[in-house]
Amino acid sequence: MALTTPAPAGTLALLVPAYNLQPWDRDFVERLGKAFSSLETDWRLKPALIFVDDGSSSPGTELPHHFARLAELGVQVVATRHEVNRGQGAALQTALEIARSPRVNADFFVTFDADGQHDPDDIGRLYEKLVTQRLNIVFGNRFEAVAAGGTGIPASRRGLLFLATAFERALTGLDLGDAHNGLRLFDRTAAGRIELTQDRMAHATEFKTLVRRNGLKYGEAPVRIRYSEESLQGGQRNSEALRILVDLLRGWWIR
Amino acid sequence: MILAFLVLGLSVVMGAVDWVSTKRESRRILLLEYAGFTGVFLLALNPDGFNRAAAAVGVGRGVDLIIYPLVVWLFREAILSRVRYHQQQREITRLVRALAVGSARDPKVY
Repeated sequence: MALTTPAPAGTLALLVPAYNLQPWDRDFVERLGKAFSSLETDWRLKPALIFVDDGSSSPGTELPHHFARLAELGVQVVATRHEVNRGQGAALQTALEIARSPRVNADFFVTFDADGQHDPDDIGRLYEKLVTQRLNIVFGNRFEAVAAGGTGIPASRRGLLFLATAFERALTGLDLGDAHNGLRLFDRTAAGRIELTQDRMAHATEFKTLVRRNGLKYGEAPVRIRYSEESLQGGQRNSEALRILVDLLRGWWIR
Repeated sequence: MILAFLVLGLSVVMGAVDWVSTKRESRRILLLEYAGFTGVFLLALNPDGFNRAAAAVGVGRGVDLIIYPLVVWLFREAILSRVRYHQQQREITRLVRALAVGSARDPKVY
């Protein structure tokens, strides 16, 4: 990855909410470490990982190993736990608050799913787009990656994503091609204006509403999604679309 | 008349059970319950009087004098309960988050 413009040095925090799953495997952690290392070399970014266990009944047994390995690689790791399960949106907001605190004092923030469906190498691509186009936030778009020969999207997801994307465009007014993509990268300006109140999956739509409301400059970059059995089970099921809609309506009516 | 005394008997039993099972400092709320019981008892005791009162205000039957305000009250209660529930959920999230942020730690001891 070529350094095309002088990038400000700073801390990039990966925000990872997790609930009842074994986050990643050792290979994935090595890839993540390598991606962090590239970010340090190419962009002078100091990596941090903020991990929030959202009240899991059985936290991943491999986690201490993963954390130790990332710490060995020079990543600042901060882990915490919700004593009661509150949902992905709530866990993400918790991670964001820790990343914004003086303890981490991050300059850039990446929301990243714990089930290993995101490709760590995509973080650099999102960052490059953010700095070269002077944006506040870059959303991942799995459809652009597919068009470029990336990972395919299961048919069971395709229809739902199409409808959800059209719905979000109508609701938020943002011209984005991928609804509910968990990979986003944003700067400190955006981080200061994002306060998620949607505790569950509707936070993805709320995110975009906040971008619109705060007049943040946004863009999209292609990202690859690896669909595994675990990610399909742990992610948003088709039946959850209705629940998201209800949560959004409730959020609009009840503040 | 029999119906009126059945209502009275039921009200007295329920009122007594609630009085015993409610904490002393919270018993004031039972006055509202007893006022409702009294209204239903009076309606059962003197339906014709209620019918006349209902006709005078144009709501048809005497029992409707009780039912209409009850529906309005229940509807309001349902909405307010929903709002209170979600406000409490939000407060729980804030509390859980404050604990999590406060206890965020070095993963070596995770």
